[in-house]
Amino acid sequence: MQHWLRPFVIPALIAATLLGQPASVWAAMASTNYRIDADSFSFGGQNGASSGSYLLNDGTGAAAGFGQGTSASYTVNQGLRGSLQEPFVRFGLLVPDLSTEVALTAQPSANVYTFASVTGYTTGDSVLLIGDAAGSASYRIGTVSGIAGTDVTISVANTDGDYDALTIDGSGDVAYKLSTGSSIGLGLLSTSAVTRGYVVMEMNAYNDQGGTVYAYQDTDLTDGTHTIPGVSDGTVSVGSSEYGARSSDSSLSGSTFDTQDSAFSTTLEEVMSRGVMAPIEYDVVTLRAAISTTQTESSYAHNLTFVYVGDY
Amino acid sequence: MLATTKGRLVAFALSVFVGLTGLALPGRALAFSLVPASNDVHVYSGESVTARVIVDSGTGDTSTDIFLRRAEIGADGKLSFSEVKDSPLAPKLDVTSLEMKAGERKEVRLQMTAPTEGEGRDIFAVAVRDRGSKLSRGSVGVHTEIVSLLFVSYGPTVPEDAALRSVTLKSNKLARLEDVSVAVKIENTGHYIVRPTVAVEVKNLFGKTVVVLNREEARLSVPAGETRDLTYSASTTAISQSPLGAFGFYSVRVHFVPKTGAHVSTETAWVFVWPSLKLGLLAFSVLVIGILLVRFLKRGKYAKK
Repeated sequence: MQHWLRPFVIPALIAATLLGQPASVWAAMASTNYRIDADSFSFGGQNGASSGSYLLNDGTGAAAGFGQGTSASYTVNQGLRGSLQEPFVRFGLLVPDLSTEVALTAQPSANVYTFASVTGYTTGDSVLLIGDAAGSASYRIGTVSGIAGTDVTISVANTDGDYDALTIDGSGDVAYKLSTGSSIGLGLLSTSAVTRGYVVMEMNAYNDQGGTVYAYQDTDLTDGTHTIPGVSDGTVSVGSSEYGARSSDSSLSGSTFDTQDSAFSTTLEEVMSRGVMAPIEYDVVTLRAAISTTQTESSYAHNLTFVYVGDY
Repeated sequence: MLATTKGRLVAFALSVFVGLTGLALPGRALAFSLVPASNDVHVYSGESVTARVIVDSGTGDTSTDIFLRRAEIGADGKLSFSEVKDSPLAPKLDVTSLEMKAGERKEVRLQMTAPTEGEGRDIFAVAVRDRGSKLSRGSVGVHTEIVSLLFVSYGPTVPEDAALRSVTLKSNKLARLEDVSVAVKIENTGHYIVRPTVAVEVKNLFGKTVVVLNREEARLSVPAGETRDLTYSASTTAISQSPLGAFGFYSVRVHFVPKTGAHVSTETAWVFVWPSLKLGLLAFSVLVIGILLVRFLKRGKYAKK
């Protein structure tokens, strides 16, 4: 061995001995007759151990920053974290009352919108604002926090993504009051216009992978005798017998609902997706229906189910 | 890391607030929640296990139907449902409907019994669907359905499907005051979703754990054939709380448990932390000079002999 290497030999052996220790012991608590919501002690502060017979939601966090207690005589860096919530999924639908439609004529300031009429609107109402409803359509969802004349201040619930692009130019901009109903009244479908309806989806995913909302129908839109087929050319047009929908979620990977009017079916179609934990997120599905001039103007109906799955 | 942790805590607090108080907007039509979002259960041969799903009605009265579907996840990750037919593990639900007042929570129990022989896997979707109201003419009825996925396996042993594919340090030579960062790649090499547990700890020369690089892995899931890239990081400020300060060799150990009850596999990498570049160079220079000095003195000693 080279002479100059000798000073390193003993420190290297000491270091190798000290570092060659066994891994920490993993703690676990299990039984067939109890459930512990918090806490197990494991070096890594890991969470969510489970089996068929037990469920543990927490461990102690050893990292500084999760909790630190100090006094003149001690410092504790390994504080017990707050108990972790079991991953959950929460999902809800809101539907606008189409009879409350009112035109938006201006936007005097950031969250203030001028309604053509404020009749029927009061502070605390949940509202859906749509810019250029017949065209590119952008959405804002919120709560009325004040009314001064016809100027309505909205406490915005959704601030992400496309919603910030909402502009009110007085052309085709509308507001609706969100209702507690469980159906959308399309009324009589017309041969001279596209009838629209809206479903607002609220997602709350407490898991790392986020969640996906799928939609399916029980049957085609029908009046009991006639049916309206699902749209196949990407656009529901006046005078054509077709029905479809488009989502405000512009980044769907499992369907075309983000890019064009698409048809529902009896199988799952993706209409909303979030890839990360979503404290609260919104998207809007716009329904569009039209009938051809050879078809009887009538009342068509069917059921849509929106299925929310926390991603896996 | 602290900022990240704070961010996550804020997001968590928001989620819990929303989860406990209902969603943000008044006037919702249909909303409720399920816990857990998914469940992973292994049933040993011949044994029975009862899993639970908790339904929370939120702020409104809720009438729901509870039913079971078989779920399938395609190669593209897309979910599809079908009827439950001849699966030996099809859970038995203790209720098929729930009438709940606002703020009420009720439990749905799912009992599964494994065959005495063989092994297998299946995925079920426990669906909770609002009953809605009678559909009137000229309207589209909308229904809320939330699904909790139940990943079930049975057999004499718990399958271990995931593997720790790689552990990479951002730098294993000079960390200075930068973050110690370790990238961990996990791959599910089996045919079934797994929820592995990963912990990364940094130990000093004396084998003492000086910091644990934390992430909330309770929600980590790896579907079959997929990989998950995780990054763990800690600043040397945290490491400097060790008796050695931030200077010296540290081992970075990644502990990996593919499935609850499975053995722990550990990968170790090394990092050398300088308190600062200048101080590091100074220490290195002193070391080199010291070695040269020792050699010089020893040569002088031998020369005199």
